[in-house]
Amino acid sequence: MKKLFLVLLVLGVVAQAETLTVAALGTVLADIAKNVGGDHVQVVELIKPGTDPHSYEPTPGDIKKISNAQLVLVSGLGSEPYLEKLRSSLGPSRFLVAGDSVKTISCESDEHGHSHGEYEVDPHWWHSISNVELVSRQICNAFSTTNPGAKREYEANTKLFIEKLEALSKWSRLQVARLPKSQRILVTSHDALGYFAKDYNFVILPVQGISTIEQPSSQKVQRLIEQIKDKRIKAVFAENIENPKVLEQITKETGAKIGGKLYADGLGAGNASTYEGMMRSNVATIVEALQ
Amino acid sequence: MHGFPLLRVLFLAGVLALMGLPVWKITRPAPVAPVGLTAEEKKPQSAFDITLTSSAPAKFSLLVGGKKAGATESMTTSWKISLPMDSEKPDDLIVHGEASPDTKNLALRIQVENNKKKLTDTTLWGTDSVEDVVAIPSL
Repeated sequence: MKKLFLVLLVLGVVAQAETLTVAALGTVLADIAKNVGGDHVQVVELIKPGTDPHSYEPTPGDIKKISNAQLVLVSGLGSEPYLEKLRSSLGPSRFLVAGDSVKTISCESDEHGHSHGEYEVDPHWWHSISNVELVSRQICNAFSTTNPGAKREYEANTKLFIEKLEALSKWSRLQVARLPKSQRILVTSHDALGYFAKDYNFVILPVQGISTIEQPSSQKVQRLIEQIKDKRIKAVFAENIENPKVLEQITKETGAKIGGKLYADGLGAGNASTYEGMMRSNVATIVEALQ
Repeated sequence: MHGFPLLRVLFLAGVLALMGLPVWKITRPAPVAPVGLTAEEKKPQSAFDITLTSSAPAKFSLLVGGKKAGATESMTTSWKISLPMDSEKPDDLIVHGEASPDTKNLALRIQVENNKKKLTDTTLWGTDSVEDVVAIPSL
């Protein structure tokens, strides 16, 4: 009996000490996984901060890393055009699709630089802090199911992370409230901040559509210039992974300034290398430039 | 004509004036159009009546669109203020309440009305101070 008890105890300790290996196909997902997993997760980051996820394709080396992971975290909502291929080659059971748990919004499809009046789901869910809370819970459940020995730690870490997110949400709310509603207009290089706009009552005037691959037509740029002049918009924003050439042309013709760089498609470097840092940087940049 | 230099001068001045007229027409400064009001400036304003009630005496302050809209000078448990704002898109209020440091629980109720119509009724909770954003729906 004593021997059996000892064996069970040792097994329990081994199970508790086990570390999950998780592959993340997105910088924000990697940060959430680190916060939820703590010491009981090893996160393999396949997309590095500052990389354009719209143009990412997994290399053979990446596929090897993914196949070694116990869980693969993907953004979903059309962010990964290669997802179906990956799923069919690795089996669907190991994939966690964050887009399945978030509250989505639609945005106008603008694939060819002009509006068709068609709508599609906006895949940039992480610009709503409440969505990040939902994904944190989803990841916590998946980690606990895959590695039940560390369930308590995952739950405690998630609780702490959600408290941080709530503080971040309040801070963002207070910062944005300093801007009169009439000044809450975001001219950005591409239409990635729809969730942010919905949460904080901004209107977005994007130069491109949802994807950075789309290029704006000259008529669209001209229309935008007229709107900026008409609404007396003080600043337009570039992104961390883009060439802001078109925005520079717009500023020349309208007199609006470049308000700073926003992290739209994922985390950046330095202070913006965590989700909290990225959000703080975006909010501070927007509020300061539009005031 | 040869004998009247004055006439010659007058004639020359007339010719020059006639020649200069089209040049003046082209180069004269364009009349300045009166500056029209922008869409923002034309927006209808309406009075929003704001009532703050707290569970313990506190100093209150209100910010609207990043600007100080009002504050109490002394500790009180109730404060009313009326603010004119855009009726279509009223700005968010940043509400701050500061009670004495030994206060353990502070509840601050914020009610916003327009022409006796209730628009917002919310309560903020804290220890000795509270601060948050209160959104007002459009009329």
